Amino acid sequence: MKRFIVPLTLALASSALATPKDALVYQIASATASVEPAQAVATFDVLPVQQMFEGLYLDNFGKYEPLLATTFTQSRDGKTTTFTLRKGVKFHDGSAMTCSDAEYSVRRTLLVGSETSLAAQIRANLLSIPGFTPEVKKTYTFAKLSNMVKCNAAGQLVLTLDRNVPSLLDSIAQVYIVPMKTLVAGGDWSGTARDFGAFLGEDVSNSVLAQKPVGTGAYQFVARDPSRFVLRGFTQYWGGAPALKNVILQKVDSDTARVLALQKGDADIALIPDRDTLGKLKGIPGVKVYEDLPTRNLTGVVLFNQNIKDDKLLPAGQLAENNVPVNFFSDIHVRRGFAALFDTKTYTRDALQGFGLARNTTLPTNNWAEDKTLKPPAYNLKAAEAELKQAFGGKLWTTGFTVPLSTFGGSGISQVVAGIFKENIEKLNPRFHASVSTLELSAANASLLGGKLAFSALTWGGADPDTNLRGLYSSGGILAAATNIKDPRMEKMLDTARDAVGQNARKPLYKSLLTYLNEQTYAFPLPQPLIFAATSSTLKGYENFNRTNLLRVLSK
Amino acid sequence: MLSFVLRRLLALPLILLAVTFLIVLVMQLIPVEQRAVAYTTDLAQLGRIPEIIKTNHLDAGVFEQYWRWLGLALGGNLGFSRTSGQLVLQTLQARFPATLELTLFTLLPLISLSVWLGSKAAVHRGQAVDAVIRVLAVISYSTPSFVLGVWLLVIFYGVLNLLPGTGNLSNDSAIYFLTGEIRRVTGLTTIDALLSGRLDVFWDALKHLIMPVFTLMVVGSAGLIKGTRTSMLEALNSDYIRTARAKGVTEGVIVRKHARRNAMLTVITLAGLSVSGLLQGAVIAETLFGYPGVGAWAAQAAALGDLPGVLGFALLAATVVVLINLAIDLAYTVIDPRVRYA
Repeated sequence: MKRFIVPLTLALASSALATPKDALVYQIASATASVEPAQAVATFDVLPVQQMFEGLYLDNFGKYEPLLATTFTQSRDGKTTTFTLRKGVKFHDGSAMTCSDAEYSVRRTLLVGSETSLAAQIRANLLSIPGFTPEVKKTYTFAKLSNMVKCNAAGQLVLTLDRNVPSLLDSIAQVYIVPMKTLVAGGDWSGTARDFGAFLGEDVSNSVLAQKPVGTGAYQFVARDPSRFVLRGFTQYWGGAPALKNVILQKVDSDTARVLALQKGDADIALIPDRDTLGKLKGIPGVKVYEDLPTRNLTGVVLFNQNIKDDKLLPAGQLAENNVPVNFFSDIHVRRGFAALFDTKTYTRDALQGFGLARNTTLPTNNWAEDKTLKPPAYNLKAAEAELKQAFGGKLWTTGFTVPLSTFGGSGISQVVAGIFKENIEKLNPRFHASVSTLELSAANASLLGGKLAFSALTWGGADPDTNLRGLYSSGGILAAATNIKDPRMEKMLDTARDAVGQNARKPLYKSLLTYLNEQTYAFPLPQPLIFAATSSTLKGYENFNRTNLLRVLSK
Repeated sequence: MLSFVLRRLLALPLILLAVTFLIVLVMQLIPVEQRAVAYTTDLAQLGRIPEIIKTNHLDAGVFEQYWRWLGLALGGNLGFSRTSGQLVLQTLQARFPATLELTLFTLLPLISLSVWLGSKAAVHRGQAVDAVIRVLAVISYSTPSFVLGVWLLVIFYGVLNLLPGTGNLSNDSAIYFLTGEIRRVTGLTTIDALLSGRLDVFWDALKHLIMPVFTLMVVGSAGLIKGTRTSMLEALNSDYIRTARAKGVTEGVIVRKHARRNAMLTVITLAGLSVSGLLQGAVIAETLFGYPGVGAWAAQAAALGDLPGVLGFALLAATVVVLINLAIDLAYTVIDPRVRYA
């Protein structure tokens, strides 16, 4: 028996090999589903899409760099933008990129894609349409679309919108240029009025492009199976072939398996589940640990709901120790008091394990309109007491309240936020109470949108300040039902800052707006989490990858 | 016999209808907004809930929804799975062979080892061997498969470096399949590797099977061992065994030829149930070991409210269970000639 076991053990032991020098194995937690560029929004769909497809510009951590366009000019009113296209760009099938391809791609993005697609987000931003409702469909025609996006005689792409859209480049960076002929031959939209109606808002997750992706990116599609997505460096890439010739995005569900694979050299990058695991990887030979990489275009905030849609609460204006009125947070002193109750140091320690950046406003820290001189509400129990003593004409302090706090199942951050509030609320006054309940995540999201939550801690995103602030605060924003803010002055400031042309003109307007928002405390910023990651120690350029999401910046 | 088989096969569509209708019905118990939220991937999309509900007909009644799905399904279109990013049929075709391979490689050692251990325990009833086997069965029954799986990963992959970590193939071997260098004939990686004469790939696929197979075996063996032991004890205590003993038949012959054969009816029933159990166990084993089968996909589809995905898996699982039950009924006639179906 023993004689048999030894050779068997030796044979089995030959399984572990480090990844080759010109290849990258990136172990991710969920599989890539659809790589149709008009649809992809999930993280591990977007990752391969960004390697295979390119837009006219690249959002490099808040700065826009030319990709398939080299320059652009804008009319004085900001409505017309003309892009000069890069010459000598080839698609993976060997065909040359022309202005017709760019024109078709932008038009297609403004045409196809379900309500949860990237294309729908781009349409909402560029055209201000909520979706293809029957009313929108009546006026949205092929003629309108072709007038909006067309090539001029000089081979430049001209985009003419109804208004100045300040976040134009944010959207343009996500419109991927695809080969028209390949798509049309594969049965996709013909690019004409003939089948315009059939593709209007159509879910294209299973399109010819999703089956056989062809773009201009540094990597081209090779093959996929249920747990792998394989890419190869594109030798004719206009920016030069990437250093790592082969890329395998490998889905590995088990956290343990991914961490072990990294330690053993079977993976170059592995998604690490939490900072505790990251800590255990520190000092392990062959593994490089990143603890404090910056977050991109994301902001963590606590939002107050000024008209809570919950029948169990008291009518507006009424107070009781065991409840709160539906308009509890419409009183500025309550909002300011709650913001002053929030201990950001404890939050950074407990929710972010010490890795958080102090914030100045509710904009992401890498946003160009962020102003480091501004001061957000700060943790101060005395200030909280002073504010809450003024709330509801002074009655709140003597009557007391019980505020409902919701945590989301599986979200440690919401538990920390609720815990901090509960502790400090109840510390301040024996008549102040907080009741904590837990909701399942999808139920919590439905409650948030139904305006049923008293306040919410959430992460919000967007590259342009208008996208960010309008979404968070405007009565026409996506979170309007969750906040119920009615402030015409703020709306006007938002519109003015949006409609000014150019960053230089917009920046001072945003400073005024952000100062006002800090004063009003409709929301307050949570410390910005820092990203953590672990790679093989031979991999170079991960910091740059974190900023761009492009695998072509990596090497060994 | 033939009419029995035909009747059972004719019942299959009714069972499939009932199972899929029940799933649609249960899904309806979740509030419509909550089901719509499952379609979103980030907060920005939460503002589109009314459109999501409308486009996907989530506010339609259960019969309307079911009829809509059934109409497509009867035409051979099981819908699109958001989880896999493919048509449900394509996903089943791509993933089922891996689950089948895992189940087949588990089934043979599971049944033979469990029957052997169960018989051994019955024959040595009350002795040390019996006690050890019963303790083993209790341990296997009470060990959560995900705990066992993590232990195996850490020990055999992490520490000893004896077995590969995840998937059904290493990346190097997978490339042969992805690039078509090894042709997919049966869909089972071990068999296809052998058919193409690639022993290295066959060996690689086999190594990837060891940990998930072992996990499924441990989890599935307890019931089978105990069932075999009980039915063997019953058989060993029956009159005809006493008669055989009185006639001087040796104990070995009694166990092999008389008792075990009579105990097999129960064992076959339990083994059939084990196959259904293996399909369920595959969800955990595939998730833990990254095995690209239908189980891991179905679990994700259920979590994401991917109704076409869940219904597709249910169709497959129900068909497998019905066919297995039919096979068990037919096996009874082989084991016991007294069993007849009209």
